Amino acid sequence: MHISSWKKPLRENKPLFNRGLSFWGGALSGREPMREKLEQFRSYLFLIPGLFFLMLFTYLPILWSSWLSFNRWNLLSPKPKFAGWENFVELWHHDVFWLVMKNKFFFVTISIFPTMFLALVFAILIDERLKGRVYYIYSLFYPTLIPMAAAAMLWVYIYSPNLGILNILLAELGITKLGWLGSSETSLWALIIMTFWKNLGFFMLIYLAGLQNVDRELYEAAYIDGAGWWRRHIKITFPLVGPTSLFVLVTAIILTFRVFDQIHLMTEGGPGNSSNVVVYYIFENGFKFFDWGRATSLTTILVCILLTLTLIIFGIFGKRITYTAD
Amino acid sequence: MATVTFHDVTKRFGNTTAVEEFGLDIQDKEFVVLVGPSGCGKSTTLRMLAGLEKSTEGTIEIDGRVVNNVHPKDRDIAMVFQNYALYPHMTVYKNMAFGLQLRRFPKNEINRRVHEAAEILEISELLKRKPRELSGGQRQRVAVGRAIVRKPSVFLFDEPLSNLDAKLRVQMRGEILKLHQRLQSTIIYVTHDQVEAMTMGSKIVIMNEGRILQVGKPIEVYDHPENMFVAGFIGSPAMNFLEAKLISKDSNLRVDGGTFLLSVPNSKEKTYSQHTDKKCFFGIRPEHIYDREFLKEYDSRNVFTARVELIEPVGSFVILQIALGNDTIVAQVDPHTQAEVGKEIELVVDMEQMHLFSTAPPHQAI
Repeated sequence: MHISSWKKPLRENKPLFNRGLSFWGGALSGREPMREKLEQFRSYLFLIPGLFFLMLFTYLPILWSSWLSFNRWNLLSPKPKFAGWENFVELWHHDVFWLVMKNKFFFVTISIFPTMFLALVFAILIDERLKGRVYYIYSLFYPTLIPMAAAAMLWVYIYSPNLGILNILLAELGITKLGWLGSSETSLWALIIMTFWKNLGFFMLIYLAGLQNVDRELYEAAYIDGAGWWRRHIKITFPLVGPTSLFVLVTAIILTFRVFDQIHLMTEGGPGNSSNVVVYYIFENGFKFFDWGRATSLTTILVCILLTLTLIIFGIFGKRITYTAD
Repeated sequence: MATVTFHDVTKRFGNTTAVEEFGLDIQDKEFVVLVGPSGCGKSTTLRMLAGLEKSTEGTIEIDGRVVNNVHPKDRDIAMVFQNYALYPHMTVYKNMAFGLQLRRFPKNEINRRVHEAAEILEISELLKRKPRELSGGQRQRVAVGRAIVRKPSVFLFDEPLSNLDAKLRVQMRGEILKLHQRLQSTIIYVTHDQVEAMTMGSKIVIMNEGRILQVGKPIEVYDHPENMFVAGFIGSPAMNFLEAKLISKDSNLRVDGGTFLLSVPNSKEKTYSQHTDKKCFFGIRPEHIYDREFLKEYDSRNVFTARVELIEPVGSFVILQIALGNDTIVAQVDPHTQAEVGKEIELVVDMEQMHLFSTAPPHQAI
């Protein structure tokens, strides 16, 4: 068989069993539908172990928590009792719920775009083969590698009102010392800055990988066309890293919505819920107040928000971005 | 339009010398092809002219102006890249207009130039498409279009046809030539394909290992290669080289290869006689070896017999691989040849077309 004749079908996005080859590699004749079905069945068999674990640890918990969110289940009623929309209605009328939602959306909006922009700018600078680029990559990516607990402790020290390096620096610059984690005005900002520091390197690395897909010749063509550094990147890099940006945006939204560890370790949502956000609020309801009904209804709301945001983002940008590969 | 001059241009990357003392004069409206194997420095030379690489030594002039430190956009050049380098997120129109927009041309002028170029290249109906919706040939045209809207003094082509299939390559070759006649511009074209070089260039520059080996009109280079590398690189199938010795026999100068003895024609005797009794490389192109069956007249002293090892019918001719002692040579003979693999065949060499090269590197022509 000529090489191209077996290579070609692999390029087509057809399931394995329709490629004219049996599962074990032998050619299938069209006259053997039964055998083909058997082959199909056999290929599905291989999916079962994966599906089993997905079902057990992902799909069932989602269904289970969705169902629980319509139940009253707390220390006073140890058995789940169907309560309809009660949990959701209660949340709707609860001030803290709106505060954590506001905090969360503030957190997401304020942190994502600067993170994405700076991650891309750093990726571009590193991609342009700066001297010592490896050290830049290491120093930017290092925070991503540190366990969150260690990073949180580090930042607790940095934010320490009297001993923290940040306030010492501010004092040097003649700026009034800030309360940081201890003040309701700055606690959320402090967490945003810390999360920005922690995530920047990760997104920078993804952008760096995305930049490898942009053909060098395009920059050379633009250079000869007369485009300067900024224009080359605005007209070429930004549009062409669209697929990466889409991935980074969705991942960043999900990651930021899921922020929990640093809040638990650094502020416990305080002071006065000023740095409390959805996932921590879920934790509080579930494991501090033991109100599992409310915790699961919050989880359901979070899943719905993330799903809707992802669908909207893909709806808006999915078709507009340019994939450089043919 | 413009002249281009390279004065002893050298380019080093660390310890590697990519181009060495490259000196060349390119006249206005000339179609110059830089040709050579991969890594010979031809693309680096073009990129230095484009301003994408800085030369380590030497100067480059465009129209008498030294451009070593001039930004590419101010060199009045346009370049067509090997992989077309079309902006994938822009339509064909925007791809072609991009350079003009950056130079702040008025909108109606941009529009006029893009449509004019599209008409020349017959891509008017593709202007709203994106590059991914185009075939290889169409992309190539857009890439050329992007260069011609700028109306530059010098066009640079960096292996522009190497991604096209054989048939399209032949077609585009013709179209680029027509374009050259129409635009009357200076073109510098880089390729590793000697057929492209021969068919397109009004002057070809053969390079190897960063150095120019020969410059000349294609037919001059084909007829009078200055060394063995050029002789072997230009022409397809490549020239045969056999170790031989020039001897004097029966008051006639002969090429003695051990397995063959051929007679040097009178016209060449004077040139070669001073090398009598010296070892050399005898070169003969496959198209200058004939199947005796198809010749009415021939010099019987230049007939030799050899065993056929392989027959490759191409259509308009047949390529024979022939065993000659320990060597294998190639002959391009009449398509109706009766040659059979494993059997002997009588071949005639047109010694008017013979070449002799020195055995010492760089194997200069004698």
